[in-house]
Amino acid sequence: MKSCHDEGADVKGDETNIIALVGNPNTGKSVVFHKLTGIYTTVSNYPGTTLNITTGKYKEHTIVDTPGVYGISSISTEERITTEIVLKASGVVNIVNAACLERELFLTLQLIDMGLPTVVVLNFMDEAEKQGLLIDVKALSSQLGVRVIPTVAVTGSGIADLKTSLAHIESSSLPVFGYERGMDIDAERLLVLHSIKNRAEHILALEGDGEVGVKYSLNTKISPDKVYTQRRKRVNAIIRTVVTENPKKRTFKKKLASLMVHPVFGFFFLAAILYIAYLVVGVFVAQTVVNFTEKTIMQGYYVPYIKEMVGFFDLPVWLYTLFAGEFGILTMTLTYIVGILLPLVVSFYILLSLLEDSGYLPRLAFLVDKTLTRFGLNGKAVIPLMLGFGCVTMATITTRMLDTKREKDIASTLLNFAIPCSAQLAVITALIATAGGYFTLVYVSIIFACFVILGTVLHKVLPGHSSSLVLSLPSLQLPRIKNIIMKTFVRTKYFLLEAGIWFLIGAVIMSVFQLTGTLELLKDLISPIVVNWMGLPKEAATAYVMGIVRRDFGAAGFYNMALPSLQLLVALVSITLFVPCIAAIMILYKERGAKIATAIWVGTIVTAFLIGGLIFKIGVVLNVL
Amino acid sequence: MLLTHAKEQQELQIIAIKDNTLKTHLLKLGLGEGDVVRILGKIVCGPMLLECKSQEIALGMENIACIEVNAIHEELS
Ligand SMILES: Nc1nc2c(ncn2[C@@H]2O[C@H](COP(=O)(O)OP(=O)(O)OP(=O)(O)O)[C@@H](O)[C@H]2O)c(=O)[nH]1
Ligand SMILES: [Mg+2]
Repeated sequence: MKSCHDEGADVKGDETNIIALVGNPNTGKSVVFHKLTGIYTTVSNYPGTTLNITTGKYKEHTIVDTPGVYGISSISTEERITTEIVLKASGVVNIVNAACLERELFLTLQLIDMGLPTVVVLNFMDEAEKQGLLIDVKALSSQLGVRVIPTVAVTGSGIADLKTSLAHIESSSLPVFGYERGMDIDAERLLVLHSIKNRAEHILALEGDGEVGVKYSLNTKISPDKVYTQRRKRVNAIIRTVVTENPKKRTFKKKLASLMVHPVFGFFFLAAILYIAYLVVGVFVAQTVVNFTEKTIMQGYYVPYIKEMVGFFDLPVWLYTLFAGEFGILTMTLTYIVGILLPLVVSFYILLSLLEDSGYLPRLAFLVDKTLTRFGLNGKAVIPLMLGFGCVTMATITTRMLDTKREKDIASTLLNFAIPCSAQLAVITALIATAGGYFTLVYVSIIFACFVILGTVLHKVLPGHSSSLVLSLPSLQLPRIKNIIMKTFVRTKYFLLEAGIWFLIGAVIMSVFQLTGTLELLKDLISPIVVNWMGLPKEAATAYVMGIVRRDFGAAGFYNMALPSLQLLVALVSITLFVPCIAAIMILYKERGAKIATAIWVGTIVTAFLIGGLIFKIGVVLNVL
Repeated sequence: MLLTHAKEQQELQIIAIKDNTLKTHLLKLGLGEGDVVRILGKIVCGPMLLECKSQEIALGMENIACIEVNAIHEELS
């Protein structure tokens, strides 16, 4: 299996037998991919979940899951990736949403026009039926000239049929549609167009595709309007003959959907969701569950037992320190990961998956679009920003779904500065829980203010233009338990591996620093900032040294310090704004380049200490907390 | 009139999409000149939510300002 974070459509394996799963965003490609190959890639109910290719095997075929696109061209990164795969593939499985055929068949006709061997998977048949849409599958198949297979991918219905069709995917039996007739193309260009023997490239050239244009030196720009409009008309004509509507009333779903996007009640709804999330994660898991896992299990039984066991071997001091000391691999690392982080991170992932699968996030995108335009973003950016609360590293990759480089730069910066990831939030929630609701409000307000100021400044100073919102909303649906469990499992596994390795490295470094006296030296070095400027005890310096590896590791460093309220606030705000974890920085380098990644890394250190100190000074002057 | 001035629940026919990039993007999504849309939601000086055939499309303020429409019920009355 290959699931890459790199941009590009690099398929390894049998290049002659590639079957590409292609379709509009959110049509169930990744579900079908899972059914065919047994490999799980993230499935969510918003457009733009898959942003790169994943490959797997079904019999002799190499199956490729691609990012959802509305058309084949080289305009956006996703379209470029999908186009590259489609041109390489020996067959295309075009997955369409049966409940939304007007939108979906545009791409289908384009694939057929390009002469690609295609089979159409008419997915979401359950949804079409619920909406009272009757689709004449046979008529659709004969109008398209290719096989059409009705499916409900989530239940597996129709997948067996698809599997048997994979071996003989054919190009449309219909004659090639002559778009040139309705177009005003000069003789010189027509000559070049006719010299393009590859039918797929010929169509793309006719649509004015940039990359094909460059390849064949078609110097003048052709607008795709003419071809697109003709194709749109063809789609409408097909719909008229194959779809019969018998609209059913679905009042509850409709009412709920309109409540979510209401300019007033929509925000109440959002507040209710956040409050429930706080009650579940911040109160129940952070207090009751973590108290049990950290205090009762880890500190009460596990750590004393491990210390005794390791002590039993009569190891030299340095080795004992490495395994069972203050920063020991078996003591501190496992306590942090299993006792504190795991229960909180899992609960975060579950909540996030519920939001992703319900179809709420695209509605939230509509609701906050106006606000986000003030930061040079549009509503769509709320998806990576929300996912950042799960994992900032993953969310930085998700910024690819945004339309311009400027938006990707702004969203990545905001994510890495002011969005605490689930692991970090987990420790923060557990620490804040004891300080009460007022304290939480102050903390949230400060981080939010930082987010707003940073967003506004970036919008003002960054050159270029941001795009305006265009987003097709999926219908609301009840999240599927199986998918929630699967997604949470995959994410938790990634978290445990990623955090485990870095915590281990961090614990070793800290133990070495402690044994060699480097830790004291570092503490002395940054104590003017930590002690004099931020009013924290010298011990707190350790947390920032640990935070260089991972912010949650740093935050966990405050866990047993019993800081008074003002100091706790300073500590939590500064560690929230502190450097992104090493994995996030590496992704940032790859996605946004060295200049931006370095600027963010240095910027976060300066901001964290600056804001931390300011809060302390203001707190002392006002005598609050 | 411009789509910007449309009211919630109003039914409108798209007359012209003045921005070419937006026009091609919307054509791919199934929305073109001549199509009928209904305003499902609107945020003042913000985005609009349109219902077109069987789908809902959210459009930002800048995009709305590029779309010229005719109100359908006004034409009928
Ligand atoms: N009701 C219903 N839901 C489906 C069906 N197939 C997929 N889904 C749901 O549709 C949503 C999108 O599924 P994905 O597999 O992530 O879609 P995708 O095409 O890979 O989406 P992108 O990666 O964003 O392009 C998920 O919530 C699925 O559970 C189906 O046949 N019926
Ligand atoms: Mg997908």
